[in-house]
Amino acid sequence: MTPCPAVIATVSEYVPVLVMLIFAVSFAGFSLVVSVLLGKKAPTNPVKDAAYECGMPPISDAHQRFSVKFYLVAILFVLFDIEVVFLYPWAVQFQAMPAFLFAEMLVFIGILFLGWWYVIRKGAVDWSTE
Amino acid sequence: MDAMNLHLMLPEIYLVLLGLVILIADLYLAPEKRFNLGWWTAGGLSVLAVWLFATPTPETVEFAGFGLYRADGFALFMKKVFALTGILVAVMSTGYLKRYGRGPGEFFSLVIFALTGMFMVASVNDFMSLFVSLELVTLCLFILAAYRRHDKLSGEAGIKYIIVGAMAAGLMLFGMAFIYGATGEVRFTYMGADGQLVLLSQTVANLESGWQMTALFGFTVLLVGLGFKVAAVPFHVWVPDVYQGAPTPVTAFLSVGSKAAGFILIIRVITLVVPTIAPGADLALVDQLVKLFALIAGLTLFYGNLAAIPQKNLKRLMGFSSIGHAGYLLLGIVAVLAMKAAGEETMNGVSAIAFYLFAYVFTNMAMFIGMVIFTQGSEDSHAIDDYAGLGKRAPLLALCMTIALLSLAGVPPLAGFFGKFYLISSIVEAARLDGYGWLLVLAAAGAVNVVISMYYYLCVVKRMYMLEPTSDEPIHLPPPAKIAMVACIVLVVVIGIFQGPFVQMATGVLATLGF
Amino acid sequence: MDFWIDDIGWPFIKIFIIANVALMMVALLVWAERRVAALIQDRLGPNRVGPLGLLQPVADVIKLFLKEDLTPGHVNRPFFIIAPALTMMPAIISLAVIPFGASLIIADLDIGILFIFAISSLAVYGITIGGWASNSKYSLLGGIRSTAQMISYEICLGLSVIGVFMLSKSLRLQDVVLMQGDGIWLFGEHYTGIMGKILDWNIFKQPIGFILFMIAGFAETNRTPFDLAEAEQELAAGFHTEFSSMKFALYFLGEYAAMISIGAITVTLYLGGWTFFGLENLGGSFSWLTQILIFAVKLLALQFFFIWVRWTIPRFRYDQLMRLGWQVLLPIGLANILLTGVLKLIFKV
Repeated sequence: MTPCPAVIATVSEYVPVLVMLIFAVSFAGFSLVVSVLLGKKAPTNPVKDAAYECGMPPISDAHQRFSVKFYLVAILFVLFDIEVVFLYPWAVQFQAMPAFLFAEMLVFIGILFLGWWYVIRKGAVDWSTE
Repeated sequence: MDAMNLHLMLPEIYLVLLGLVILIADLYLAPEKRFNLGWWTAGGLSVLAVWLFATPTPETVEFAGFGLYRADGFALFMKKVFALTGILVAVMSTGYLKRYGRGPGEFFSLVIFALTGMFMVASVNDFMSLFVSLELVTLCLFILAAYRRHDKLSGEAGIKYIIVGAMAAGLMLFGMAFIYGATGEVRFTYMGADGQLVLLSQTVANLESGWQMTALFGFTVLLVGLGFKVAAVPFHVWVPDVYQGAPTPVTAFLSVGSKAAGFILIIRVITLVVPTIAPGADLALVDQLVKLFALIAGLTLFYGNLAAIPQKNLKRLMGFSSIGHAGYLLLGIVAVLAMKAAGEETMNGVSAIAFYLFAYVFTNMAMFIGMVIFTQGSEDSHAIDDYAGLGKRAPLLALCMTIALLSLAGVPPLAGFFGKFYLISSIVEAARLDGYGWLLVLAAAGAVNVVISMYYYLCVVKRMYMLEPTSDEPIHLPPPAKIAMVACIVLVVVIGIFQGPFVQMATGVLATLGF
Repeated sequence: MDFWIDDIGWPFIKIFIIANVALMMVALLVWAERRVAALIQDRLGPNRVGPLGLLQPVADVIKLFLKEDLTPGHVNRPFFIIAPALTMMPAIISLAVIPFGASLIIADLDIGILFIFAISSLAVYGITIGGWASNSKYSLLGGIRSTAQMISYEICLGLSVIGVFMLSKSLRLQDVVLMQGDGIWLFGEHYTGIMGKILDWNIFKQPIGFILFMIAGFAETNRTPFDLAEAEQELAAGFHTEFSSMKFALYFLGEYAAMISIGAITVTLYLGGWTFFGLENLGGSFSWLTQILIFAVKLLALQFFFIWVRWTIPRFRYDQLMRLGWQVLLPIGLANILLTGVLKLIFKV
């Protein structure tokens, strides 16, 4: 089982990224540990343990249902972001056959635009009315 | 093979555009006019149906989308079936949605997008396009099943369908991965090194025995996934609940469209990917599949029909009966597989399935249109006892539903009888092969089940005519739905009496099936 | 052996240099933010610790280390602890593919920009998880608000740079830098005069894209006028209300590191990166020092702009924010791509 050279080359490009990741993780870990070690230790009490609501005693748990609009935004993000990612390979290859690729993209963006228009007309991202 | 050939995909492109037009038109129409979108849909699909029926059956297979898509006789035939299904679903949904009063634009565009998926399913030539197009169908149907979202049963139907559907999709991908692992190929037909078209089944046939077992495992898992779609026992558990909970037009769409899509895929996999074993060669792979499918077909037949007997709800009863019909259709698959195992390329099973599905569309649709008219879409509960005395309240409706039920049961000379007849005769033909005499048992099971199903269908008919009505309220038959229902019933009778041209149409699909 | 030197050794040195530069920049930025704010509001700002108050950030860090590390009882403990780190790490890791000089790049990936978007979008997790794990109403609101905002503007961010890659024909950031500043191509002719070279920067070739990118960049880093996640007047401190000590510091650091990282991407994509019309070759074998200086100057100018905007422009309302992102920027982004395509066909750039 010898992987092909191209795979080795691609993977080894990412080794520095891995080193960077280790650096970032250890930096975060170091900060969190050191602050626990150096920081002041004081006894806790019920008020200190409660959620901070500007002095008002918190009523009920905060884990409650929130507006469905956030969910809509998340779904729309997934849809549109995937379409945006499709544009990258197209952009890089654009020079190769500009006229043809331009026509293709007109169709793609046209459909994307229709979808966008539908979303706007349906008021899916309109937050001014509730 | 290596060309886009967009002109072959024009029906699908037309459907996508139609769906988009409906979706956008919904934004601009006044709320009360939105329900007219059902007529737009029916009209648009009628144009498509005329177009498809005017298209001559292709003499050779043509490929589009760089080999992802095939245009052949079988695909064209199934597309006709789907287009007719779509029209009937649109007609019966319009009145239904008007009473239910909610989101017609989305409903009809989802129906059209599901149809697009079914059209793509009819033309798959690649595991990838198989998966994507089947998921397009099921994703739309998930939403449609849960369309009455303030109705608990409908919500339950949607959730159950999603969970089972997702599991089936996962299993299918798993199976595809094994077949790909064994053969290194996802396309069903592709250009070989010498410029000749190669069938994936030839590649499978040339594998070493170890890899053949890998491929067999892949087939089994893949077909389990497809078994969920066609509601074969033991993968049927979702059917009764989903059929009962989904809005009635969607149930109709599920029982015809989704099931047909599943069978098309099974047929495609079996004709293009499962190898035909040369006489005297190692039979292991295909022979195992024959036994497996024979077992599943037998179980499905008996389970569906026996479990339908105690049902108190007509929609639930239709769900179980639809499992029974899947059992009949599986007989055709068994016949094809047995032929393959014996090294013969006779595909009578496929033409029997095609004919059966064609007849099944009209029979089932007539039944469901009748049910929609009966409840007027308002509460959508279908206790069988409510149908008591329908013969007095609405004689035409009762007559049509009776004929539909009789055809479903398989009473000659209706269309349903000949569908079953051809399927059983294909299995009898397969039983003549060496070592497959035991298939006669399966044929006998098919015959016995006709009798069983006769019992529970006739129970419904008995209530319609023998019992006194529970309410005197007259039932209004809206003209479009009435015309559609009567047209279906006329076709059921006509197909039964003059089967010649229809059988010819169904056997015509065989010519281009292999390549 | 080669593996250890080429794949671990050199990157380690580069990471050391770049991480140090980046952390210094963060410290400088914190100081600059307060000084510039004071300047704009006509007051003095921090001026006690060190010359001009320059050592103020150091004092702040020491203070934060010595503070009590409080994890309140009502929170979801494991998530509460990892959330700040999750916000800080992506901003640092995305610096890995930014070319600070001809050879000063930690990993010269051929999918550079996609890597940056993939990594930097992970920062959303830190904010969402932090807001949710805090189990406080302000935090939850701040967290989900900020999530919705960041993912909405991520689409614009992604759309706005596509024009650049249509010109550069490569997603590798080093290629994008080298493509700028060597003279503009028009109708098949290469103009290498000083105007030609200046106009070759993407900011002039992609002005609409640049503006979109800057706006989306402000939103991505939760800076005013898009700082709804921590809108002090209504949400206390938003998603980090419950955080203290170094956990708060990590959020703080993450935010400023994200500013640096967005600024560095802007410099790379639109402002010629580490090049400056030949100046980058000064210094012979120490030219890398010149290059990183050029980069730092451009970056600091941009950061000044960030700070300037923060202390000048009021905050958007949430519906305005969403309308701007979805109904204005998104179609402009699409139009910009089409416009770039048309112009490319006409001018044969």
